[in-house]
Amino acid sequence: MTHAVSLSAASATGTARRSWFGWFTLVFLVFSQVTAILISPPDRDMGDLQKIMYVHVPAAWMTMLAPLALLAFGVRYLFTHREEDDLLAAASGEVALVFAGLTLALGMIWGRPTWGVWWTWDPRLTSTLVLFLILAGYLSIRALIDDRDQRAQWSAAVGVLGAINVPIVYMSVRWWRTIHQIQSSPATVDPAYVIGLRLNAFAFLFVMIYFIRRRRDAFVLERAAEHAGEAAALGGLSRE
Amino acid sequence: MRARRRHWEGFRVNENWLFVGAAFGLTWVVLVGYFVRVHGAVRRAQALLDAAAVVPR
Amino acid sequence: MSMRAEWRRARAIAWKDLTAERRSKAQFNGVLALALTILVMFGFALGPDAQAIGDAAAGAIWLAALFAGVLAFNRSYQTELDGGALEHLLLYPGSRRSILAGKLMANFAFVGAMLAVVVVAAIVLFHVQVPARWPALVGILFLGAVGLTTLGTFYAAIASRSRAREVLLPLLLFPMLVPVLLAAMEATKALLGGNAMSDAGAWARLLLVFDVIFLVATFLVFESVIEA
Repeated sequence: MTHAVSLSAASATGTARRSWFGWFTLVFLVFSQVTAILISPPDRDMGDLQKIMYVHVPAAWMTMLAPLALLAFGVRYLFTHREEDDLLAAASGEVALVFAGLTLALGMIWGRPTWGVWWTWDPRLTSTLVLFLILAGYLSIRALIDDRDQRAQWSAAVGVLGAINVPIVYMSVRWWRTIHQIQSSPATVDPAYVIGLRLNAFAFLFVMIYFIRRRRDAFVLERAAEHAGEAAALGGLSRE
Repeated sequence: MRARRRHWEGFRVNENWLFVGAAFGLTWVVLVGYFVRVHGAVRRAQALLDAAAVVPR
Repeated sequence: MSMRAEWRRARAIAWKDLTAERRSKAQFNGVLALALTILVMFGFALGPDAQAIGDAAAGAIWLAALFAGVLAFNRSYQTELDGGALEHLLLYPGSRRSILAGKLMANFAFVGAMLAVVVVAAIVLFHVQVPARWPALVGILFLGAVGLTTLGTFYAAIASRSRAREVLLPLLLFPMLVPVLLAAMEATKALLGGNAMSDAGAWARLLLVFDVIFLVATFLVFESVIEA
């Protein structure tokens, strides 16, 4: 039985804090992006294409972090059965999907002028694609199951297994590529770019955290509205 | 790699900025778009909640 | 519940699944026929050039087994779903894991038998030499079947009880199977091509590791899935 979320989770003070954090995140993101673009010199080989790194790499890092959040909240839900954990897991899954999709698109935008093709079966890009599909499956499950408890249980199980599989997928795809001896993508980061990268990495991290919490707020409010609607329909309002 | 670079010499350097622009543009479109979506969901749910609370006992 | 009692329970469930299967032999034959048909379709997609087809044989074998297996996995919960037998099964005292174990064994026998026939058909249709190291090939088929069956049986426990089950099972299962399929296909490719044994050996070891990981993970999580 899933323990219902308390309405205090969406209390006024919480939302106000979220607002402050939201504005800070936006400002920091703009600052990081502008700074990185302005202070970085063109790369020897890639020229100004290098600047794409400032969105692609942080997005890729968030694509690794968000599933970890999904894993953590999913495992916690399986132990606690608290609705809060289920909603946090769902929010993490959705945000993870957004970042995965963005990473893929940016990888393709970077790849086209750099290597001449829209897609190579590069280990990291391919693993991200598989992760994207895993997350799509996770969200499909949530969309297709109506029973609240069943949905929470099953999506937690699916999410946890899916998240565990990510490093395994990466390992197997990398091995697959090595066997067939295709060149791997360059991984070194010139020290000149580190500051810009770090700034943007943090900016994206704040964005991810903000999104997850905001999405969770939306779920909580939706759930509370449902409860209130049901209670009103039954006559009289009860706060749980 | 060298062959590829020779092929791409036909590209004007300006073309790179198209891709850089596309990358940053797409990033902002996605992030802002998702924010709008979540914000909309919060607003809608809040409205529903307020409406339900107003129902007389 | 003691280990022996759990084992007996698992065997009972496996036996029930398999004998219900045997009485309606049509189901195994149907799924097998589907696998062979898919194999033939691959032949049309990739052939008729002997070289191209030979290279693709390993991939075609496993994909045919995968697509046909998906039907089998969903069906394996059918008897419990019809007539609400699942609730009754859950009422009996005993670990839920024995349910998974029983279903795993039954599905593994099913998939294994199907794979064996598919491989023979592929050797014929795709101009592949019967490898000298065919016991090693059997080993790879075994390990691959374990991985395929483990994840398939697990996700079918969810998919078979939800709407759009035909879509949901492949959607959930296929991305999760990437490591197992990659390892199985590469190892099979190495063996069928008569290449150096070392390649296949490395993949086989990886496949074994994957099997263990997924077996443990699914057993740990199955309880919360079957109860819901």
